[in-house]
Amino acid sequence: MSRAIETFLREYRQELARRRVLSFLGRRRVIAEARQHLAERAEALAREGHPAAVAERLAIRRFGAPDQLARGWLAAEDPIGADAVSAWLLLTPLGLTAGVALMLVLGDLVGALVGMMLVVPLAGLVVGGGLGAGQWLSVRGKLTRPLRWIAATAGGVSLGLTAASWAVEGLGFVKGNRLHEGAALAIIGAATGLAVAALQQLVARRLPAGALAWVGRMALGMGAGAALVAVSLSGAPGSFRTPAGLLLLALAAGATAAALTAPVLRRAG
Amino acid sequence: VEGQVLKGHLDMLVLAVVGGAASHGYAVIERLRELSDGAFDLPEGTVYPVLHRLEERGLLSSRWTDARRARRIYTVTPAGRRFLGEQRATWSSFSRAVSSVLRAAP
Repeated sequence: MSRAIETFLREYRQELARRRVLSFLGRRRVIAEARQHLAERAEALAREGHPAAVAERLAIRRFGAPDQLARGWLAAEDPIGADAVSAWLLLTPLGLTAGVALMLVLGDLVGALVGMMLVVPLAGLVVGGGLGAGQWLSVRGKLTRPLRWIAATAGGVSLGLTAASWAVEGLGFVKGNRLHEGAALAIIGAATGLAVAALQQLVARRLPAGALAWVGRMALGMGAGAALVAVSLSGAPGSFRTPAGLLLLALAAGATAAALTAPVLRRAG
Repeated sequence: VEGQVLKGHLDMLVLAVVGGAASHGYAVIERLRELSDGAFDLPEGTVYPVLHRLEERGLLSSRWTDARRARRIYTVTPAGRRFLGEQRATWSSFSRAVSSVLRAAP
């Protein structure tokens, strides 16, 4: 590929990144398509008799200026309106809670099928599937395609939950008093939120508008919500492990995560 | 053709072109230009946001070909065909109505 085309593609990529258009993976695909297009156009122009260097310059000119193209990407997005943000606030906690409820129903069956070692990762997939489905319903089609979003969310919950659970149990945190439980759940919630948001911002078209804020707020929201429930539940340490405690935990973690990420979503719209 | 006028109908036009034959972005813009006798002469890169948006809405699907030159080929989905049918009907009735007014008015 010629230097002129590669220089143009670098400028185009920088312009997309500067305007925070598309996800990292989305930008890679756009640049790959642009590279193929420019090569094909330059070849066509060369066949018409233009010298190679001229053909490449003409192909670039016909493709459009990077800033104009980046504005075109922004204009092509459906706006994320107040109704979608309101739905996000409602469906994030409900989706997470539905995922936990489903896991409570399926828990024994899953344990029997896959063995204890794989229960947490699999539970994460089920819970994350609920969370991802709820979130996707609230902003349908405005962030990315459903399967991609739900898979990223489920994978994130599974990954974060598994890693943090092993770490926390290894440290012996969960066996302590309620404050210890709060700390343990803050770690588990924050790690889960972090993994979820990191994978989501990889697949979403628009969250680059605040990729770091997205990850930070999701982690803080899930960690804080889970810890608050653990600390404030009355009764003996371990109360959060009851079905009602787990559902309350999911509701609180989902609600705080939704509240903290909603402003990023609004800005992305 | 005025950019703003064209922009409002670009989704329908791109869907119609891809509906005729599965195509990559380069072929879509070429076909648009040919079929409009050069009237729709857009900056070529502007077709990609439209293709991606239609794909995100489930109206197109796409895949990379594994030929020597990899191309992202777009195909209309069943939902895209339904949407295109609705858009065609709306456009026909709208253009008939506008023509009728313009013919009748002095």
